[in-house]
Amino acid sequence: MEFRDYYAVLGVPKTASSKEIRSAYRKLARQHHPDVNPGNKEAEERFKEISEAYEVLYDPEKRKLYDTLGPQWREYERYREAGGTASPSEFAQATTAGAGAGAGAGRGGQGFDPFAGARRSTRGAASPDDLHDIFGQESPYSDFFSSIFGDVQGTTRRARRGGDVEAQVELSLEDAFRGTTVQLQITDPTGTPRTIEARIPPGVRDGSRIRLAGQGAAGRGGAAAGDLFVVVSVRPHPRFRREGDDLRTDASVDMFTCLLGGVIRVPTLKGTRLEVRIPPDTQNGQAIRLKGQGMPHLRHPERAGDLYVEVRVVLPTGLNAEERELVAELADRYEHHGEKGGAR
Amino acid sequence: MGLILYRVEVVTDILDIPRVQLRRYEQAGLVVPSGAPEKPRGRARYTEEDLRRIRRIRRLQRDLGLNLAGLQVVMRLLDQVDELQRRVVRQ
Repeated sequence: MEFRDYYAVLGVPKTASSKEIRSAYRKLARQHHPDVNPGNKEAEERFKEISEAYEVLYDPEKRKLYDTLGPQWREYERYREAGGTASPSEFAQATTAGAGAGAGAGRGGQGFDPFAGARRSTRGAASPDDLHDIFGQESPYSDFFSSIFGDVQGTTRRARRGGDVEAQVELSLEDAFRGTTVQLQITDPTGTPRTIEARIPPGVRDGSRIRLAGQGAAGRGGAAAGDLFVVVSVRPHPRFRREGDDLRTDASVDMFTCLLGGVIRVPTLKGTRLEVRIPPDTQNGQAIRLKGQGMPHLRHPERAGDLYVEVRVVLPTGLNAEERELVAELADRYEHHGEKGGAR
Repeated sequence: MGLILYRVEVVTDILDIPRVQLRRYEQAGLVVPSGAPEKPRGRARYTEEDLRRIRRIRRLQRDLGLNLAGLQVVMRLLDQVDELQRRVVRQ
């Protein structure tokens, strides 16, 4: 594998100062920036090269590493992976001495340009970078850059635990009843989105916080990631009201069923309909308890609250003359019995 | 899909940006945190979209050497381009 000469990319000599490098970079960036050349793939590619070259050459440490290693970066990488601890320069010296040709000789010698050439064709597979924001998912940096310098933040700063992050999730009462799985997309420091699946247990309440350990912001320098807290908000339901683990719902019941008793069918959150016996003399607003038909308990889902069915008496309307007479007769008898009726 | 919210200290940590710089962006109207605060009278938090915006601002500032005034112009234009693209997609 060969690499680009970053100095040539920026059009600066190898002795250029960082100020000259920055100046050259900005001049080129203004010409080729994707925001200035929307839809121009060639400009985008060129800008990637320029940015990559700048990333390496503007940082004195990276530049030194680049100057020292030349084409031996892969060997050095394998060496580090195998547990080697030598510095890049020691490594370069050792390998070039073994091969019978020094890096300096190579640079000056026949056809050996440590910085020239092509890169791997799968550029998109290189490590991500915040240039994702401008270029989308395709990484602007070649494998060379990413494999040598790796996680720039992680290698240059002190280890520190990542921050905690909060995710707000809105659920229906049905989802809270059954439990569900929600997908959360969180972006890591390099700008790469990752999807996390958070399992929401049955019986979750409005305002519940579910902790997903180690799923928050990434830590620095190998430190642990922060936690992700999923904060659940449960949407109000048009039919059911929640009180702790109990549910309440209204059922419209005709006057005669309330007076004489009967059976009505009540929908539940499970999606089924339960037959509920209405006892005689049921009053308006009276609640009938259906044991175990409420929300599952968050920590013990095998237990569940109760469902209270509140009776809403529906009076007949549009009575004809005969019916009104019958009702009046009933009212007379009701008063005659000395029982207390409603206001008339 | 849930809405991810970041407190300001997490944003500065993730993006490796000084808090004072983030304040400057906010004062210049370049970014306004759009997430609900943690407490009723607390500071608004940042969404993923806000983070993407800050990354873009940082990149533009570094790549083109834009100052805050330049950033305001470019970001406004980019917002308009984004909005037009959304409209085209919708049609």
